[in-house]
Amino acid sequence: MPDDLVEVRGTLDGEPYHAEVPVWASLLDALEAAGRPLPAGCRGGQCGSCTVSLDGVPAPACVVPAGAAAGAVVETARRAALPVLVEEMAAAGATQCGYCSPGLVVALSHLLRTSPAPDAPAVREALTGHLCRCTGYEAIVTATLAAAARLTSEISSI
Amino acid sequence: MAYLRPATIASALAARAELPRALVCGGGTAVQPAMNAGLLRPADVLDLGGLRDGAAIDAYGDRVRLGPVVRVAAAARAHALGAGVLGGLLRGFATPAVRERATLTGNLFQAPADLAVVLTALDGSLITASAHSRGERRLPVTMASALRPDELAVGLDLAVPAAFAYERLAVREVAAPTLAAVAAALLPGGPRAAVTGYRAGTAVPCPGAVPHLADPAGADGFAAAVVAAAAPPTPYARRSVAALARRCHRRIHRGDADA
Repeated sequence: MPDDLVEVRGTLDGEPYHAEVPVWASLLDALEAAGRPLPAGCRGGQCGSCTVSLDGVPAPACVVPAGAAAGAVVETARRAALPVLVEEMAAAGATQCGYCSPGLVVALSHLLRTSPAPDAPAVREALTGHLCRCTGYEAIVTATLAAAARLTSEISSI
Repeated sequence: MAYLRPATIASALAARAELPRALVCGGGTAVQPAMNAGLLRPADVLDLGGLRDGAAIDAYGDRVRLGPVVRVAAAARAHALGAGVLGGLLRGFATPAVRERATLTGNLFQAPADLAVVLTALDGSLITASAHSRGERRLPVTMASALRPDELAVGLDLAVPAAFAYERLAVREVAAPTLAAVAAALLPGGPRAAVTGYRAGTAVPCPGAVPHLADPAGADGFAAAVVAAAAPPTPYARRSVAALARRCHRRIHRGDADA
């Protein structure tokens, strides 16, 4: 490995990954180098499009130094998404161009896992830091509340 | 070229002594975007985010000491800080995901340091240490640039408020620079207030406002003293800072800020 690169190893969606990146690279860069690029937007932690679950907590991959993610468990929407949320988002038309959707799904799935019956303000708070230029957010909020209602119903029927 | 992620404060200080020019990173939420943009191209990075002994929140008496990598979200949840008092304030800082990673101490090294006005009102100080010297040094929270090359910030020391208020002016609620902000606190040692923006820079205390903050009928005097400290350059800016100050005063005495 060249001297000007650092090695990053971790787990991505349940599989080991490996990347060699400059010392200033972000996790977003490392995943791209590992052949698993995420939607990249602002690269400043403000748009949310590259949000992943990092050791169980949502984080914009662009603000996480690659070296800080060494050994961490990284999950993208492929693995972190709650199926019921994805179904409700599709039903409500909560995704249009789809660029923001993977990051949104990671953040909202985390919300539903940690707060199974959120109200609309809690959903809007979780959406803070996720820019969606298509939907106006209403359909996303509606879908998340519908998913929460289904989850609550499933829990109470057990 | 090295990326160092020490596990203890002692090993971080040793690494700092060895690599005094390394870029120090806490949560990375400010440093990484600067690296993404090419504004920073460090040869070495000293990442404090993995310090096992760096995220403690320890109450002692009527004060609290926070480790150097206490995350903003963790501070907002901490009962030792008065979760109900500070939670609302910290909700307005950055976005939920960024708050989970950003550190209070790290914010003080940014320009502007959005939390400096809050920590100044809480009688905060930055605690520094180095591998070469015994003991610790304390600096005002606005003096993060005064660290010596071999030093690291190893903690924050704050008073726990009985009541706290923070009002901020920005172009939008989150993820936007603060134009002006006022913080006020009722502390065991007496009231304190601080303002940021305009000529106040990062944050300045407002000692002239203290007697008015203690007085439930002192909203106008409090606002005038805060405006004097910030010295806003235009009538609109003066009215804005005065409004922020009045809202803080109202929150302190009535628990709300509605006019």
